[in-house]
Amino acid sequence: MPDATLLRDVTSYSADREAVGHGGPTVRRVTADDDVSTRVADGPRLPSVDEPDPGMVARAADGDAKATRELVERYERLVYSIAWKMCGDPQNADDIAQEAFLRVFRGLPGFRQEARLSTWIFRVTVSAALDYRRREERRAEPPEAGAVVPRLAPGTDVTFDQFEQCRAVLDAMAGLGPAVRRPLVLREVYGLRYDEIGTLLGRPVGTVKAAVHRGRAALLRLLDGRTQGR
Amino acid sequence: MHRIACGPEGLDSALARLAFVEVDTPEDFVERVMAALGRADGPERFALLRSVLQTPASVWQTARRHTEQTAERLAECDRLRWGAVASSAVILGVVALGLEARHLSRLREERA
Repeated sequence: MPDATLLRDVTSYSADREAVGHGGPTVRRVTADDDVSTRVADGPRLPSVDEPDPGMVARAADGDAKATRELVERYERLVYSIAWKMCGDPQNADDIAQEAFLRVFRGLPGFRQEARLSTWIFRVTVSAALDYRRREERRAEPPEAGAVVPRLAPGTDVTFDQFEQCRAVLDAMAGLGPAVRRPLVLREVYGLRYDEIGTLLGRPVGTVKAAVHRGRAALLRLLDGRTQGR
Repeated sequence: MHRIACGPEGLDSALARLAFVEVDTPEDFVERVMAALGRADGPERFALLRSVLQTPASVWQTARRHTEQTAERLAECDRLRWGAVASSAVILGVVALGLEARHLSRLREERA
């Protein structure tokens, strides 16, 4: 597992980046000539969630029910969304998200608040998703359309067409196997570095790169788009 | 299925934007998480407290009185027990001294 310093919020901006949210994290447009090892300088890419005050976190760590509920309500969509993107199945996502929250509150007394809480929760959720393999390996068919309702995180500003593209990609990702979906999501959606992903998955960097490449190719085929020698 | 008209570059952007696409949680998700965490919710805690508050004062007083009486009896038993132990120790000590004295007396007579 990478330590918290490897998972930093996206904070840097550059001229060639396209803003996605109002003052929030940005998306960098890449080309086929880009060196993929430097494609993403910061990570993970996450929607903005207001950080809770340290007092509330401390109370939740002590077992205060009200503070615990507030934290769950604040992060439920983030956690559930990460879980769902990692596994592509609403039922598994439910189990993963619950397990993630159990781990969050188990580890909360040790959380030192050096990193953002959302970054730490992201890491815990990814870990829970990677540990949860049982149902995913048995699943033969992708979930039925409309089983989940995708929405934009508050403060995110995209056009209708861009959002529809996202929905199409989400639908296509549900048809990917876990061996390519997980590295693809961690790299292409959340912007982790290959070495971070390799550590999380326990795989060499070369294997991760190959899986991401296969995942992209599969998505393009599923979406009936063009491939240009990637 | 929707076409990604820009090919790989359009896919890049769509994938990156997915970080900001969230899905709704089931309606009872928070409740199930709270139950899994074992955190008693406010109403449940109040119900427990209310049952305590509704117990009559006379019941509390009787219980307290019985508890005090039991404690006194146990303390008395302890005092008697320790007193018996102390008495036995004294008696045994006296007997031991007496036996030793008789032994020493016999030794003196034999030498004499």
